[in-house]
Amino acid sequence: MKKALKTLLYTEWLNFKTEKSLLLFALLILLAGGYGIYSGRAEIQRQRANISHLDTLYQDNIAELKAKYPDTADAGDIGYYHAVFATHMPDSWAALSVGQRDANPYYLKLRLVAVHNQLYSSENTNPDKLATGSFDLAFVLVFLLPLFIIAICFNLFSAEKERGTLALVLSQPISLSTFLLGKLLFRFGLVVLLVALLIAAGVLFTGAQADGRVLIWLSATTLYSMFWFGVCYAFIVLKKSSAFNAICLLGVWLLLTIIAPAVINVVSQISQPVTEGMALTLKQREEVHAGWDKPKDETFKRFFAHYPQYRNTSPVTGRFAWKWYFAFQELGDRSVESLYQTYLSKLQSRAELANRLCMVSAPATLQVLLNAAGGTDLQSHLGFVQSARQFHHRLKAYYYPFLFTDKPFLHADYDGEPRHIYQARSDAAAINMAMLTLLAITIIVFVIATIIQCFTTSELK
Amino acid sequence: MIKTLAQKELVSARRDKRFVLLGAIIVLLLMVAAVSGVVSYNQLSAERTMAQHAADHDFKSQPARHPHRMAHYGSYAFRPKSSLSFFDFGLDTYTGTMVFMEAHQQNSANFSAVQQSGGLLRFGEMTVAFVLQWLIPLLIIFLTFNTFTQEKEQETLKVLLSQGLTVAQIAKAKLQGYAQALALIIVPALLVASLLLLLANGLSADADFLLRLLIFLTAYLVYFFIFLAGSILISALNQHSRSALLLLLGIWIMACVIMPKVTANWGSLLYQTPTKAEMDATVHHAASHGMNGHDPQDKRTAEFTKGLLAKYHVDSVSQLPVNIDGLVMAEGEAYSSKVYAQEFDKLADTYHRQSSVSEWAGLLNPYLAIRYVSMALAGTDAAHYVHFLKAAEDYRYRLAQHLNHLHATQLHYHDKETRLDASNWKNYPAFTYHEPSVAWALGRHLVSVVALLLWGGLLYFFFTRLITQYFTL
Repeated sequence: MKKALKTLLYTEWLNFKTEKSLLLFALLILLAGGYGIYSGRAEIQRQRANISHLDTLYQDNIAELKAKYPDTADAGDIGYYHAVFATHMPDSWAALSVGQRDANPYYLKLRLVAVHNQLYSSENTNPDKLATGSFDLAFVLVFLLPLFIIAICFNLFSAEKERGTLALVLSQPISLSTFLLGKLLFRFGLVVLLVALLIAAGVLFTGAQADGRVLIWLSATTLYSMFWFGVCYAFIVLKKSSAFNAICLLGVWLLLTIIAPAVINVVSQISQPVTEGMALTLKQREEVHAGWDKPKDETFKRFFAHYPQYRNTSPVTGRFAWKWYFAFQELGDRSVESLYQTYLSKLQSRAELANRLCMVSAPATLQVLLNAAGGTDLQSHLGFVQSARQFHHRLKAYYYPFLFTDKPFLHADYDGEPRHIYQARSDAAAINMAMLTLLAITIIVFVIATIIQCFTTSELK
Repeated sequence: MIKTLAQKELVSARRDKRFVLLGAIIVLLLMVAAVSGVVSYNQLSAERTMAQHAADHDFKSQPARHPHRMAHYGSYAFRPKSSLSFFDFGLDTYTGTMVFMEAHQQNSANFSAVQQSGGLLRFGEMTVAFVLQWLIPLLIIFLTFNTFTQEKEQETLKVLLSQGLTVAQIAKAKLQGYAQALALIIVPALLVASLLLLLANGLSADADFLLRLLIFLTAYLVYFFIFLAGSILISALNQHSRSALLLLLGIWIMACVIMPKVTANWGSLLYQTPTKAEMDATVHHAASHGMNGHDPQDKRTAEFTKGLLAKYHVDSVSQLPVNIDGLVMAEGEAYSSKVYAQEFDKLADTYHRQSSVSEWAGLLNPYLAIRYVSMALAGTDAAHYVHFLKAAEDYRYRLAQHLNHLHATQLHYHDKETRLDASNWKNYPAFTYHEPSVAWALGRHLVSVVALLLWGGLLYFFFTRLITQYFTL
């Protein structure tokens, strides 16, 4: 048995060297993977360059304000005219799985005014490009790798039958299942080798940190390849024609990579609509602008409840004072806080529903895993927005003492202003969950394939 | 004889259980897509109409205010769903839906669906267009890949040829037969989908809408014809069913899965878009230092004031019969809006150039051609989005200038206290958006229209000719 397998693998190697189609497919997947690595890297590099350019814009803005207020300034003027950037730095693995980083803004321009309508700004991106999606290594592995596996496996048995070489094979002292196993093992080895090559190239070329995630990527894609080999095997042992196999396998691919995720998405969007974003923007405008008409005492009373330390500062007597303006800006933010929490929890629960449902689709599960590993998923973005809000609190903590103690804002004070960088991180919980799911569905597929095999072997004898 | 042959293909397709099963699956998916499309269309439409009404109501019910307060209170524009959008969501999921329109500043359109969804969305969407663009071609390939090869393998073709038929005649007959078989599936499904569409629109349909629908259906017929004729052609030119099928599936994967991603990525690598922060900075810089760099804002304002004093023959601004505050703001708004429009046009042009890589690739790949034509007709392409953004910017500008005009004519110099009557906002017309005409929509995608027609035309002309020339038994 062992020797027969060895011979078989060796025969397959000889076949591989001579059969052009297998070689061609292998080259194609390498080529696609190479382009994926290149274009993912270009995308993330551009984001990094744009983020570092923000610093120039920030310094320009400060230079302009220094020129406008040459000696001292009212901190209110600075808070109103000065913009600071909250930035979402990509993880070193982001280039291999760009995820949602192209769709969500990776920086937010913040001023001291009410924060809520500053959190949802979108970036200049071509919607056509967004709709088509990124051509990164994750795309090649999630979408194209199964097609590659199908292309090299769909006719393993049927081709022998159709070429008339089957009888010859069966006349040898090996069983049909050993024969198929040998062929499949050879191809599986080839796929794992190619994927490992691509991942290694990706890590080297994009500068991804060679940490535990190399192993995560390798094991996830190996499991994923096993899943697809299992699917192919289930169809091969049915012993139908090559054409039948090709069509059915492509059908399964279509079902799992496009139709199932699309249906899950429709279900989660229709069943859990999120309208709070728009609602809270509208409400916040009402609250903030009503601030102009409300008696100042009332505004300050509500404000000081949150900031008792400023209660005994000088009162506002005139028509306008910055501290009064920023007080009602903050009250506007606070008035929509509960709506904002609802908005967040609805987004979360919608994403969770989609993630739970996506266990029916191995491709969707792998994509979730790779995005979580690179910190490029929705969770990472929500984490960034959350951290941008905390940053806005820090800005207020920096500016309010100037405003409420009537302290002049000096040129040196720009240097003390807080800055913000949020470093995207991988999400271990999501990775583990997705890995377990992948393992489970791979096992299920193998069980199904074995059952099919049991039912069909009897016919052959 | 040809009629009989066509009849034979139709009958055998109808008797082929696999075709019936696949056809049923596709009709089912088409129905799922249409129904979920209607549901989400209704949901989003209602959301946005309600939000627009709420925002308009808020604006109209503002109390007496200083006009510049109102300019900062601002207004909102929500992008209405186009009536055909449920056939093809196009880019709608990826474009912002809500624009805040205030004085001095152009804001981005926010709350796109993609920003509020997880990564699953990026796998694609279940829409009528998806079924028509991806799945029907697969059905066609499945139906026809062995139409010639099988007859070659079973040697029935020789019998047919010995009856005095030419290969071209047989090919035409097959085309006819398969077209009829496909029509059995597609026509009823599309009729039901169109009916749903009309119902979703409350049965009100103007000429432009009907024209869009009509061209939409015609464009897809051309698309199906391309795949049908191409698939029969490949079957005729191949010796074995297996090689014909592999070639066809390879073409399908290339056309629908790989090439669109490559061209879209290529386009965005070739042409860089400035970030919103960069663009804002450019607009701000040009507005304060002058578009030519040596015409700064203070200088412009000083000259404007001088001209005004001369015009009214007075010595100081407080003597002017109009309030110079409002006029200066109107001047500033006009100038900065001009700068912004310039930058925005550059941005829209960059988007256009990025996408044009994919559009030109339509000459090689009919999938890309139908994709753009379909989105254009559904009103869900980038051009319609830009059109909406421009309409919102136009409204923003007019509103700001209207309020500046009130400021200039009804308030005194440096008057920050007086509040103008609430009727001023109550009677101001709310934002309404009108979709451009179908001619405009197609005019943005001439390359794709031409590519689709060219493919259809070329296959029509060369279908029988190529078969006659290169056919071997």
